Amino acid sequence: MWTALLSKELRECGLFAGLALLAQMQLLGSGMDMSLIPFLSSGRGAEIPFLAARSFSLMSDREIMFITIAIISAIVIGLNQTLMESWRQTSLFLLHRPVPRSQIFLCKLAAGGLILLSTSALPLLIYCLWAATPGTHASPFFWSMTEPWWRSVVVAFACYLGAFLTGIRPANWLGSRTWPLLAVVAMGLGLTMVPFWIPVVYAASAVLVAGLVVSILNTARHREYP
Amino acid sequence: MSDETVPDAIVIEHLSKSYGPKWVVHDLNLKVPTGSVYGFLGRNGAGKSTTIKMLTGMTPPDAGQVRLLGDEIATMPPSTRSRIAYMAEGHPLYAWMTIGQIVQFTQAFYEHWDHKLVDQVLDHFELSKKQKCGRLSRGQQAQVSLALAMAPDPELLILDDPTLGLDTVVRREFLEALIQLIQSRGRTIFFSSHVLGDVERVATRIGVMVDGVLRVDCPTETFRESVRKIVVGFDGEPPDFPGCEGLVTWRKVGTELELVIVNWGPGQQAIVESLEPRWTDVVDMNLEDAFIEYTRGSKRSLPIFHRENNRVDRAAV
Repeated sequence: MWTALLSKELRECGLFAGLALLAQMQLLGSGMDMSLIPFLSSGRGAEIPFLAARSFSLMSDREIMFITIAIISAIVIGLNQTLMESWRQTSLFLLHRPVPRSQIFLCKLAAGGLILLSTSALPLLIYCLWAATPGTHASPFFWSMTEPWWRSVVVAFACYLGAFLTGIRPANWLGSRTWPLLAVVAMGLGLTMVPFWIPVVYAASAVLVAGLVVSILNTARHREYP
Repeated sequence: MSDETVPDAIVIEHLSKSYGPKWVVHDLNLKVPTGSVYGFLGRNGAGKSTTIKMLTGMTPPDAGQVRLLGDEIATMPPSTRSRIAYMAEGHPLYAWMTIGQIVQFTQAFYEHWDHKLVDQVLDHFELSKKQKCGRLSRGQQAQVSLALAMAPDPELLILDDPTLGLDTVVRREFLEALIQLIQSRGRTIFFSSHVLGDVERVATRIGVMVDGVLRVDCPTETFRESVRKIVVGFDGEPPDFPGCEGLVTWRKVGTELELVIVNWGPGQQAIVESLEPRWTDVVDMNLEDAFIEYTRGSKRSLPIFHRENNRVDRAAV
C-alpha cells in the first residue's frame, strides 16, 4: 500500500519536482562551472562558495536564488498534492480505501519530503562536496559555512507543510485559507535570517514542523470532503 | 432489525447536518436491511449527496450516528471499510493512470481482490487495461468504477448517482451488470438516483428526501401504489377542495380538479363526492409520476408515510 501511494504521489509531482531539480542543478552547477545550460550562466567568477552572510543585502545572488527556488518549489508541490486532489474529487476515491486517513496523509507528506530532499538537499550536498574538495576553488571551506543553506532547506520543508495545510484547510475566502502558508513563509524567512542562537533556531523550526504536521493530520481527519 | 439473526447493513439515527442556518439533513432515521437494494431519491438539494457523504465519512455530521455493517463510521476499522464499496458521484479516477494502473493501485489497499471478476467486468464492457482513465467517456469511467468497487467482494455498496450523465444505452448496460452482480452474491446496495426508471427496475425499497427530511421509507411498490392522482370533473368552474387526510396537492385544470392523495380510500372518496362532481377518475401512476407529484406538492404539508413502519427503534436511542 505504501509503495502504491508513494509512487502515485511521486508521479503526480514529477513535473514540478523535475523543474525544481533542473533549476537547482543549473544554479548550483554554474557555481561549480558545470552549468547545465552554459549560455544561461555567467559562471562562477570570483565567487567564494558559502561565504557566510545573514542579511539579504550581504547574501550572494546564488544563495538568494537557492532559497527562492527551494521555497517556491516546496509551496507548489504542497498545493499540487492537495488542491489537485480536491479539484478532481479524487480525494473521495482515495480516502474511502481501507486505510486510516492519517496514514494516507502521512504517506503524502513522506512523498513531499522525499521530493524536497531530492530537489534541494541533494543538489546542495553535491555543491558542498564539490566545495569541500581541495583544488576546486581558491578560497577556504569549512562545513560550518554551509549551515545557513541547510537551514533554508528546513525552512523550505516548513513552507511545504504550510502550503499543504492551506490546500486541505476549508475556509470561506482566499485570505483566511492562505494564512497558514503566509505565516509559515514569514516565520521561515525570519528563521533563515537569524545570525545567532542557531540551536534555538533549529528547535523553533522543529516545533513549527511538528505543529504543522499535527495540524495537517487533525484537519484531514475532521474536514469535509466536497 | 429486519431479521433477528441478520443485522441491518445501514443504521442511521438522528443524523443532522446544517450549513449556516439551513438544515441540509434533519433528524434522519433509517435502517437498510441486509441484502436489500435501497433507492435514495430526492430533488436537487434535497440532502441525498450530503447524507451519502456522511454515510461514507467524507462529511462529519453535526448530530446523530451512522453504523455500517455494525460499526460506527467515525471509528470504523479498515477491516470493515474493506467490506464497503463507495462510488462517488461523477466517478472520479486518476486521469493520468491507465485502467491497468488504477486496478493495480486500488488492489494494493485490499487483502482480498477478485482479479477474475475485474477482468470479467472490463471484458464485458470491452475496456482495455491500456486505456487512460482521462480519455474514457463518462460511461466508461462508471464501468471502471464498478469493476473497482466489486473486486474486493464488498458486502455493502454505496453509490452516489451512479448513472448520472450516462446515455440510455450505457445506463441500461450498467444497471444490468449491477443487477447481475447483486443477484449473484446477495449484497446490500444503497444508491441515489435521479432516474426513476432505474430505481423502479432495481430497488426493492425507496426513501424520498424532501428539504433534508426523509418523507418516505417503504417498499418501492408501496410508494407507487400509495400515491394516486384523482381527476374530478365538473360541469363548470370546479370548487376549491376543502382538504382531506393524505392530500399532497390539488389544482384546478379547466373544469377539472386534480388531486394527489396518499392512501386513497373511502374517507377521501366521501369528501370528493360531497362536492357533487359529474365524474371521478382514479389514475394509476408509475414511480416517476408518483415521485414528481409527491415531491412538487406543498413541502410543509406532505404526508409522511413511513412513520407507521419507521424502522428505527427510538426507545433504544
